[in-house]
Amino acid sequence: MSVDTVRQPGATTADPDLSMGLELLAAQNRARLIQSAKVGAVWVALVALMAATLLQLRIDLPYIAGHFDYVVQGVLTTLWISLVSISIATVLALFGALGRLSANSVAQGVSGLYVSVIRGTPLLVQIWLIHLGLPQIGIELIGLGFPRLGELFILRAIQSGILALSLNYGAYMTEVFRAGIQSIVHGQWEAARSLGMTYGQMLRRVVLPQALHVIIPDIGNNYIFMLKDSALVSVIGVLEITCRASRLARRDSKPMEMLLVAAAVYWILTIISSWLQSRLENRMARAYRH
Amino acid sequence: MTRADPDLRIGLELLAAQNRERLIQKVKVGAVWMGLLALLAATLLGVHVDPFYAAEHYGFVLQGVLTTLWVSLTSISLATCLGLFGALGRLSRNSIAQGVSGLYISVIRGTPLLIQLLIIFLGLPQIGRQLIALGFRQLGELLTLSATQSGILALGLNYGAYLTEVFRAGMQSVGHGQEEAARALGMTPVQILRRVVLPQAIRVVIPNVGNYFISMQKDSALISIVGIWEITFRATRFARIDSKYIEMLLVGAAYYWTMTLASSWLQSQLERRMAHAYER
Repeated sequence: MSVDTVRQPGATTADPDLSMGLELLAAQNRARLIQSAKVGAVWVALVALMAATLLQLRIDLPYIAGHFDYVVQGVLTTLWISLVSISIATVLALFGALGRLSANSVAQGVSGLYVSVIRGTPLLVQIWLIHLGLPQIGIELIGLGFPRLGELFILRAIQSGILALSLNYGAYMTEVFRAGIQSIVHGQWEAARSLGMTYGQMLRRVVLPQALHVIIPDIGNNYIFMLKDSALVSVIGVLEITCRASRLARRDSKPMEMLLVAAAVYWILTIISSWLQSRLENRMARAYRH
Repeated sequence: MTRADPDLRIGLELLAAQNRERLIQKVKVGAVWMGLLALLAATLLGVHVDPFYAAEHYGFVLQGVLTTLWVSLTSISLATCLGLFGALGRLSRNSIAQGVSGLYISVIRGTPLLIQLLIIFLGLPQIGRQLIALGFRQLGELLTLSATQSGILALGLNYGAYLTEVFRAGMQSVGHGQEEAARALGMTPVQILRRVVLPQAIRVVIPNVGNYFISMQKDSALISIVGIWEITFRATRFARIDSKYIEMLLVGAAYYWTMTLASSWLQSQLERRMAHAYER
């Protein structure tokens, strides 16, 4: 806005340029609102059309009404598993990134192999390996005379699920942390070193506080992805949304009904968490806004 | 040039020293990888993991590699078509096209692939049976899909939603002036798309499609759940019969890892090739 279009406090006459600009903006906003309303109407119509088609094909509505709460009880499990896993993954990712960025070849090798193997294999295979493979080792260890160590390898379903999700996301988030740490200009490290800080101090006081601005929104994004990927742990029998839905679907052979309920629950979860995510991103960007 | 330039020589020497250092670091890291893998192997042998069993049956799992590749390739082709049309819908001014593609993306990206797969494999036949009972025989049979078909459909639909954003970004990366210039020449929208926008957008899109193809190779492990004989299914099947889980799953994991390493290498070549046009 140029200076002469700013309304002066004492001015009595309206500025024609300003009012024209305001009118244009209002017209634009109106057009955008109308478009959103139209698109929203199309969404509602599509969902209604699908619902009508499904009802026509004898989808059992009373069955859904009677059993959807069983599936909804899994929401807490899904949220809880994802939260625990993303926390462990964050810790793994921090150390992974430090390893990748260090000059030490052992640290580089360990984190590089970890990232490459985990990103190179499917999450499902990792879940199977942890849930079915580790107990095999545990039993051998007990047979060899290490009962304590062996029992450590025999995990319950929920433990193996959390371990698999954490290991998997830890590898992907290593790159997030690496990018975040590298986004801090090298001069900051040098300045901190010249002040006599140790490596831990530099990281804790100078680099990480700034890197977190970049990293936290990415952690949120990964959390949203994990909410959906956690459906995979249903294959080992963790009673979250998908497992509950498919269990009922199988028992009463109502697959369409229960799976649609599960899909709806996930969809709502994703929409809510995406909204929270956008608020988080706004909040994180505030420091750099002028 | 007969006389050696001292500055040039110093520069070359510095470069050579740098390269040497980088090579040494690489060799060291490689040695650490080897050491770690050897340590892991030794530990596994120590707890009686049976290498002979794996050596005997690795061929059975290997046959699944072709299935995995084939399913992924078909699905990514389907997804590319869906992504193109989805992006056209999102970028159009028509509210119906926007609504359809918006809902498609939101629903698919908001639900897990596993749920989508199960709905297609278990839910659609239920609808199909009802349709047959209502007298629409052919339509009903169309909805009753085989395992491979539902796997491909689920992967295609899922990745289509993600590729929509890739195509949208690619098309938006072509400057708006190009479209206006094409319209000024009297081209129809289809001509503009085919002759002006897509050929430039494709340069951005192709490397991304490659990336998605690599992750699809891994996500296709999910379709083992509906019983397609790809790597994971074959590995777990043998593992279950003889309860040799570690052996067979490690064989499966090794195949996936090799496939990812190979396709990542191809991907980097592709990206380099795609960047040629903008090199100076």
